[in-house]
Amino acid sequence: MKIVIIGGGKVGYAIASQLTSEGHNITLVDQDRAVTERIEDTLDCMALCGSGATVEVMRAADVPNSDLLIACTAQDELNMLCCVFAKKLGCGNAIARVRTPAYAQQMYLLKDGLSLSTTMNPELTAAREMFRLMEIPGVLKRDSFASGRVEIVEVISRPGDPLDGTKLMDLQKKIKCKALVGAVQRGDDTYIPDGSFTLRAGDKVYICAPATELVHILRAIGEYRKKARRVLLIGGSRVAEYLVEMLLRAGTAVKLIESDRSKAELFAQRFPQAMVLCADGTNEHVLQEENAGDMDAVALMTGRDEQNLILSMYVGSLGVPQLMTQVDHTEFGCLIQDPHNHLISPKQLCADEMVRYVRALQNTDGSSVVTLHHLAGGKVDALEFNVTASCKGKGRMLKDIKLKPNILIACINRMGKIIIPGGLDTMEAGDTVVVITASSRVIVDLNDIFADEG
Amino acid sequence: MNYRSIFRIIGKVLWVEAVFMLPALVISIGLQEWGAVRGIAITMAAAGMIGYPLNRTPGKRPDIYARDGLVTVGAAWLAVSLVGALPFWLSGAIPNYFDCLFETASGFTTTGATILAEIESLPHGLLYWRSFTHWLGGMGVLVFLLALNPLAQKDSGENMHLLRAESPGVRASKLVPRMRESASILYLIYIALTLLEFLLLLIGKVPVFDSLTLAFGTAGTGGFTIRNDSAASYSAYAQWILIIFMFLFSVNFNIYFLILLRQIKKAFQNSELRTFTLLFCVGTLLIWASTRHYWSNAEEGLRTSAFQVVSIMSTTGFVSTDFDLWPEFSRALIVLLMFVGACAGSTGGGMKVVRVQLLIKSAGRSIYRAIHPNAVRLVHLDDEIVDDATVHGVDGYILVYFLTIAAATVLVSVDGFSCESNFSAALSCMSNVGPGLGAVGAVQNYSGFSDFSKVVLTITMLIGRLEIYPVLALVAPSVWKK
Repeated sequence: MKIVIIGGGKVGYAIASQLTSEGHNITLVDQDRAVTERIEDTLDCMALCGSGATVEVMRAADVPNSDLLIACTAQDELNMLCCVFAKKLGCGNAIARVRTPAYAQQMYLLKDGLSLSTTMNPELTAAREMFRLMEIPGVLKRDSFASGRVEIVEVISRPGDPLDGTKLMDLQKKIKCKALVGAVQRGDDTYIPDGSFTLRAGDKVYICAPATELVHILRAIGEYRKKARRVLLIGGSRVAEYLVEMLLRAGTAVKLIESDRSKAELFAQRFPQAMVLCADGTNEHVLQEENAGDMDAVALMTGRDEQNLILSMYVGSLGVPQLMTQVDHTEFGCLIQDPHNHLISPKQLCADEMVRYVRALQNTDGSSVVTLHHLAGGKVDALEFNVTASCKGKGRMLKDIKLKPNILIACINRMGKIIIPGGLDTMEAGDTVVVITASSRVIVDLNDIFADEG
Repeated sequence: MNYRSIFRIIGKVLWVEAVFMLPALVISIGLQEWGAVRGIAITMAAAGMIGYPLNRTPGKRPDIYARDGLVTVGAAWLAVSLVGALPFWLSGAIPNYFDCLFETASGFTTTGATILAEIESLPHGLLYWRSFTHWLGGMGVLVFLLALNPLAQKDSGENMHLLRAESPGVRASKLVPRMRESASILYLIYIALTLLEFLLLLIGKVPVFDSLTLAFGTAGTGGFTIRNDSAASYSAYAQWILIIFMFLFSVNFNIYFLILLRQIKKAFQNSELRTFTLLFCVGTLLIWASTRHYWSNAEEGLRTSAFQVVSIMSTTGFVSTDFDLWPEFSRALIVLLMFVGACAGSTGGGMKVVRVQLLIKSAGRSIYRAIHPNAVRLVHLDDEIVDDATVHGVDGYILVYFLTIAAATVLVSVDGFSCESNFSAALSCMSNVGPGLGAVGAVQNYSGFSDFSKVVLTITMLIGRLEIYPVLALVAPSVWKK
């Protein structure tokens, strides 16, 4: 697909990088020649130097014949302007990054008035991700499907717990819940297991289950903890703004440390229920004084990766059970050994969102990708598809359907009823199904999963 | 240094070379030239065998950075020249390996300088291979690999470093977002133009084998022919065809892409194309005027002048008359045009028209600044501002260009030829033209030089074709330090 990206900053670069590796033709526009040169050197895409909001540059980037324009410069207004022009020039779809919290409240008006296909807000996405993890603290990662009715959670198997040494076909009996293991990460290897696979202590296990069963499952494997009641946020970033609002609405006690006085005052003014401190959150003394070690969760978002990473390691050593670390450069995540330290990268989440959107666009017959999440450090994809009348495997029992290797149907959602499938279940038109596959294989259509017969 | 990728790429390059020797082998078998068959067959086997372990080089990292790109290109070109010389040597057609190496490097770098006085007695298989090296070297071996398959495991943009290191020009850019598509489009245009020339020559009743080798020689702007008198004995029609195609192949290929996209206006507004055309017209007229007494009719004068001018500017090096016998003014013009060369992004050599344009503009700016010290003046090209780093890069490039020519001139002077001969030999090799003046003049050849000088000139040709840096990277200490 032909895609034009305007703005080659962190988010623009991450999106360009993801979409290039998905095989799309990307043209990136940025005003800074140093940026365009770096992108041409490192990504297999075209880079143009110029202002993306001018028709001349847009024509040079062939926006009129492109399928999608993604505007992600630093300025919301500029992004929206780019989208308006692109639409007028005949570009199929336009997405703007709009991240000013004030605009977020009038999003529907904006989308409608400017005929935007959708908007993206990396900071809001990141805040949502953090909030969702704080809701169920026992899991390492949590991805929702079927409008939140199905979850895939990542848990670590410990010696002696019900997962250790269990054959997957016996798992449902053992933990007395409806659940299915979609993927297992053991050391550097990743498996998409079948029923004969035996779990071992130390495995990272991705369990697919109805949302209602989640608490039972976590109890059964001894990973259940109460949801976070006291949360400390270090750094008053934009993500913090969204996160504080969500936490307060859920009735959580929020403490926020921000070193800039005027910023701290703004927070205090907007969120009277939160405790806002004007202090240096990187100071060990301040952290002790504010009982950082007694918190249920601490979120680090000072705006600097190094500080966030170091602080999270320090706070982790104080015994905080759940940590949220905001980072731009996920590559350094390998430094973090603690599985309960979640690295949240707004740009990466945003790039994932765009990949999802583009895969859905690519699909023509409606069996489109509804949701896409990466598991096991990006080695495994979990995709949710609509089952349409043209689906090859429709109406047949799963045990009779041959799938390509390393593909698993993890869950069927029939009008809100969640089925963890066995061999006797079927897929019907109108269902959505969650498919797990190695991410080296790009799947855009549900029919791609079936092995060719005959 | 990423040895894994470098060795693997060189391995693949050798395989490609071996595969491309196949037609030469078939021709030799068909004509029962058993010496050539032996030489080519052994070389193909050797290239395949050397390529095999190289392609299995262990290692993990697929990324290629700027430094790796330069070294890969430099080493790959050295490797194809060394291996490509083997058929001449093993078949016994050219007994001295340094002569073989010179001939092959001259082929791949599209120089067209030869050490052979007697060309026509060479087996046809070897003649084919000799001309084909022009075609492959013109657009580039690595660009061919890029078009064929994505070199790295992932489609990273780092392959750009390879394209950039191998393609001539200030800063090579892609035509379309995908590297592989860009390289494919370039090669398709290249193949289409070559085919067209081949057919037009056939129509002009030029023998098939001559047409094919001439088309190869023109396409790569090389200059090898299969006749001792170069292109002089071909018909007027054939010479006009050669003139047109030498011109076409020295134009930036991006312009053909624009024409394919029907952006005709934009294509012809390109200032480099306009300057190149202007230089060609002015050069032809001046030489025609100064040599007007030599010709029996106007058509012959115009054709011969235009032929020499475009042959030198495109750095092809076909010769249709002995221009060494011309008046000094014409010879001086020829030397000047050897410096300028063709357009960036073409298969031609030389300093490139765009660099000369930038150099003149930069010089003009220096003079302007001397008069108005506070003036703010930017260098423009095609309505775009050229940043200072690029301008300085061009200044530096041209300096190194001259230094290389100077060094080569001094080194080959030990053989005792005249200063004119030595200088024009060095310049001609650096600009990948082929013929020079004096002892290496239009109807002479390079066989008189010693082995030492031949090696020096071989390196000079590689430096000229790869635009200096990839070859220098091979010997720069900072590249090899960990």
